[in-house]
Amino acid sequence: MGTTRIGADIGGTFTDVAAVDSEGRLYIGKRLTTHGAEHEGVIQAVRDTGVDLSAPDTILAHGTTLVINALLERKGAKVALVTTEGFADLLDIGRGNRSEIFTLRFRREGPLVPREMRFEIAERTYGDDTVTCVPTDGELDRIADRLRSAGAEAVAVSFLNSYLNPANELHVAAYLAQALGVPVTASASLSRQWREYERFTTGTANAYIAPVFDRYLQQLIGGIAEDGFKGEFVVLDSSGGAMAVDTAKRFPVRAVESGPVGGVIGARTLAGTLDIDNLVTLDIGGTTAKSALVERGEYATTDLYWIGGEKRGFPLQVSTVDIIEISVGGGSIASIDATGGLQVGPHSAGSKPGPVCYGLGGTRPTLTDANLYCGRIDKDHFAGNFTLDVEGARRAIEGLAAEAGMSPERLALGILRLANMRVASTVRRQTLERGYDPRSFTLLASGGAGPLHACEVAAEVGIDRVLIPRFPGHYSALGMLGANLRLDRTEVVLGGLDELDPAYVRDILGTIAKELTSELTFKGAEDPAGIFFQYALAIRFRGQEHALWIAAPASGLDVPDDLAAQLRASFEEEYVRRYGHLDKMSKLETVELKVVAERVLPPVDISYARIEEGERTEHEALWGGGESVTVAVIARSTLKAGDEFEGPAVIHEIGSTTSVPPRARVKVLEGDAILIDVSKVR
Amino acid sequence: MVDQQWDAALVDPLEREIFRYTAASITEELEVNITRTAYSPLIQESQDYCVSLISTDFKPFMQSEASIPIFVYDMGEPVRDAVSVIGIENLEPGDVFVTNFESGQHINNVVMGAPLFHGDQISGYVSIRAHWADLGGLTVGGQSMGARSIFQEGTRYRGIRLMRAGKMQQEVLATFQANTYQKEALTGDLMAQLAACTLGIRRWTERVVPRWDAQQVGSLIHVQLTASEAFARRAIAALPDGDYSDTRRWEFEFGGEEVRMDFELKIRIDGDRMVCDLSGLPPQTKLPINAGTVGGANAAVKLAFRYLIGGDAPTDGGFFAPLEVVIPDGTIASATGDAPMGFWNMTMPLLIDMFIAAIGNSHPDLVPASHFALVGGVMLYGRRDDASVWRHVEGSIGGLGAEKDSSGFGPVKCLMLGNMKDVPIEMAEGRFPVRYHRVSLDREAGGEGLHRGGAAADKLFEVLAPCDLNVYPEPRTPAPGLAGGKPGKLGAVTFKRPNSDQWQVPRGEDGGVTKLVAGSLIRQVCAGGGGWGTPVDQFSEAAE
Repeated sequence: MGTTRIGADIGGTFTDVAAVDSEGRLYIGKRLTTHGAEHEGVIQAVRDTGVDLSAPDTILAHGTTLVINALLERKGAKVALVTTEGFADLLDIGRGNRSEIFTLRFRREGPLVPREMRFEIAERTYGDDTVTCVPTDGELDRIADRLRSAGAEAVAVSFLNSYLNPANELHVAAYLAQALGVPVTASASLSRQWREYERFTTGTANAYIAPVFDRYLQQLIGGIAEDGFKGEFVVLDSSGGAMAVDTAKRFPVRAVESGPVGGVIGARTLAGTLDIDNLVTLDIGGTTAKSALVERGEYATTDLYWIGGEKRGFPLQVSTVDIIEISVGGGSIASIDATGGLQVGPHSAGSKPGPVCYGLGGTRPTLTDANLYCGRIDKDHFAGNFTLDVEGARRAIEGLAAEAGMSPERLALGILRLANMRVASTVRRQTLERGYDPRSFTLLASGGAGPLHACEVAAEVGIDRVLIPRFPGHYSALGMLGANLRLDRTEVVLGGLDELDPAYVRDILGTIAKELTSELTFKGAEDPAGIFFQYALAIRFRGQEHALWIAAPASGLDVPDDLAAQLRASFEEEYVRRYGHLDKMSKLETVELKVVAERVLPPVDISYARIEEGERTEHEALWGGGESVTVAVIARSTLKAGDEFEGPAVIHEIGSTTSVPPRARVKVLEGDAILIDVSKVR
Repeated sequence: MVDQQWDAALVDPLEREIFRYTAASITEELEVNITRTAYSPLIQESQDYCVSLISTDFKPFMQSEASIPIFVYDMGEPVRDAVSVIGIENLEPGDVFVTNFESGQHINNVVMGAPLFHGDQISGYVSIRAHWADLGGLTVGGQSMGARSIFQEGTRYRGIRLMRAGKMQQEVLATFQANTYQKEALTGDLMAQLAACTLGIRRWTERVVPRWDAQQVGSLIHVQLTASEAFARRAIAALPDGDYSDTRRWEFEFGGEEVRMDFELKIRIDGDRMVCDLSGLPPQTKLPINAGTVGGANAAVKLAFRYLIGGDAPTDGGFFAPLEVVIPDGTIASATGDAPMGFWNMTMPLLIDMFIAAIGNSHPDLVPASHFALVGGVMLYGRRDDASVWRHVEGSIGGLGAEKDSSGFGPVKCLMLGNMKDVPIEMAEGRFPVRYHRVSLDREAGGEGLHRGGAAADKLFEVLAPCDLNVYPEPRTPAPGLAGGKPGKLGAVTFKRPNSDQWQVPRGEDGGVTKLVAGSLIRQVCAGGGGWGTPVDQFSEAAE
């Protein structure tokens, strides 16, 4: 008997729920996302699955776009900032860059906190960590009064150099929380990295959404409890794990990539099951393609996440799975640009009117229309009983072909080719541009359109193996079933590597481990031995700006006496692998230390529905230079472990279609994933 | 020279884009590589580099996205010069050359280039410019306000080969290392640049050579550049015909001397032709604020033109083909001989601004008012206990001009610079002996108007150890308003020694720099943008 686990993912259009009961049976629930009252759609979709919620050890992992949407749409609380005297304008000044280099009329979106809601306080910590000025209670009472009369619903406390010594910040935050009774965020509780602007925007964003997120979680958890849920509710964390509800309420910005991260967690789980070391993910939906990296069980992460884009938005300094995104999806519109070149995207027909073949009023050819025209999609098995307008798609392709002076076959294949090249740039960024050899990677495809393009994208990048999980169209919710509780902490540790004192490292690790342990310990999860740690140091040549993360010699918090020597050896090896050269002249220095703590939750073992009998059909498709090829059309539910065959083929299942090119070799694995060898495709 | 016949008929809208994406995949990867391995914060944080692919006739056709905007497709000429010095017949696969000769910019801007081959035929060049820490000269960093000749600013190299047929020339590397104050940083940056260069050669061989032959590559580039040129001509034709002009006067004190300079810029638009006449620039000066024609006057005009056209214009060598620049030798932006250029970029934002303003003076609805138009910059140099050099720079961040329908944005870097980020205060305080007292925004720095010009930063900081202060002169010329808008506030950099009440303008009397002692304060007030339209209260006064 296993644990019942439920994954609930709110997306832009649909809310997906996947549940596995104690017998391993899989349930899927799907609802239109209920914008404005998102919890209702989740409660309904969970109900739709019909899974028994009553077992007390049931775990529900929730991924939500609520945080990112509230930040993008500016639907948060009336928030105030309390900051070091002399620096209240930092939120306006930022880093002083014009991030669009050829834009004359450049502007960036304004801060979340208007100037009149920012309050300066006499306090200061110097760059060497000495606190020279501590605010008095009298001054704090005065500030509290001003905050109260300004109507602050939440407060961010962000002081200069708090990354180094958060004493003042924590003191003031605790004092104000006590005095005001509203959520108060100390910036250092979210980030211990230097860069005041980035940390200040992170703290203000957290305070800004804290009341909203708190309300939402209360409604959602209350609603599910009414349906009998008594288990553990966790919220997906952008860094690839899950947070307990209390942690999520205090640090809602950590849930900023809560939705998309589900699929990446699924990829990590599957890589573990199949013993795959290097995996790159590719998730293509209606408007965007996303790619992430899982290397030996660890995600590639980034410390900066941009709300509203790097060019005009503001940063969050929280650890986030490094998901690289590009605006290519099934709805991407093909067009001829002002210089006569063929373009796919960035404009998208979205889901309304959607591609021409949806018959909902779209007239401009999209990527989906080109896929249909080229026979990569089976018109009868695209989306349940939804009938595709094949004629409409053909007319749209022919219309654009006439404008471009090309044959429609060449144009349609060209649209696929360009889309694949654009998508390939994200996969390349994850692999080749990190210095990895793509041939050692497997590409895992998900999303409605990921499996349509995965084989050719892999061939473009030089990856030989493509992995298609079961139900790739619901992969984000499915992936959440494997989420573990996880937290991380990064601190600045600046100094020469040779002078790195193991005792000092042990000391910091001990302090951080204690704090993370207490965050990961609550009713039902009390065993300290159930928490696994690992740490890494960011190292660079002295004088360099960019550092490499070098993992500790072994997992756990053990610090060997020759730590520095071991790190040096790993750094040199990694540096050569990535950049192809090594300069022995310069000294090495450490910049930051990162600790990841993970509490493993009970895994699930999904047994997919029984194998169905079904006839293979055939249809004509375009491949290569435009020649017509007969392809097999296969229902995924008819495939069983051990099946092997060669492309071309179209494999359809609910929510997604896999396109297998000629010369690609398909093998169905134990556990139902499909592995495709594309080494002969080019 | 044989007139090459490109077969445009072989190139359709699809093939062109496949080639373009392929080329972009190469510059992108090189860009990632160089920013990750460079030593100089100028390369990673300030993006003071650029990666370009260049045709056999030295026209740039693909460039990295994140470089400084003034480097807009300008590496064709330095590469052409290096190739002509070497002799094209002497170039072999695996050769990598280095050049910083007469690029029109300070000699820290070093271009490294390599021929790209199809078999034994050259089918293009890859080139990478990066800001080298210094190449010797009067002071560490090479840029000294005290320099009166380019020979005092470091060493120049002209097409010297660091690698021949894939083999490193150790004596060349040793010579570079012998001509710098900062051997460690220079070697690191140079190796990063070289690694990116050789990676470019490899990727060209892997991705371009198998797909297209040299003739086809020529055709693809030709068609792309021709289409971009046609686009630019249509964009010019859409602008109102006419003669446009702008004038400015710069006055500033430097080294105890009063300097006055008058600038005039003229533009003629006639159908799909645009001519920019810079004959009215001041003559080249003994101060190190000269630029050369290629990287100076031409670059500024090209960038201003790109700003004017806006949107998703196909920015490449073809796009700039319709733009004609008239400039005699010997001006401040077309300097010749041994004119010093340490601060070559000082006039660049002004020229860009004058170009935009020339159009605005006649058609104020088409463009914003003037921006603060200064690179500015406070540069601090000192030595640590172990004698290594620390360097901290605060660039000027001021206001952009207001527009017909909105106020100006600010504070940001000027129009010559782009995505260059200020060093975080915490990083500066953690790494250098500096302490910040205040960083605030002057919301009234922008000129009044129907819409106010962009705001500017006002910073106050202290040095905690002795160091050298180097500053750009601050001309007493505000950003003019447009359509009745008022000019922005002026900026200024001043300092105050401990136990003194007097704020002073740094004069560079200590060999081009100002020596500071611990406890000295520096105040950097940046300038605001120009206002747009007559201020509302003046309207009502007129009505009364």
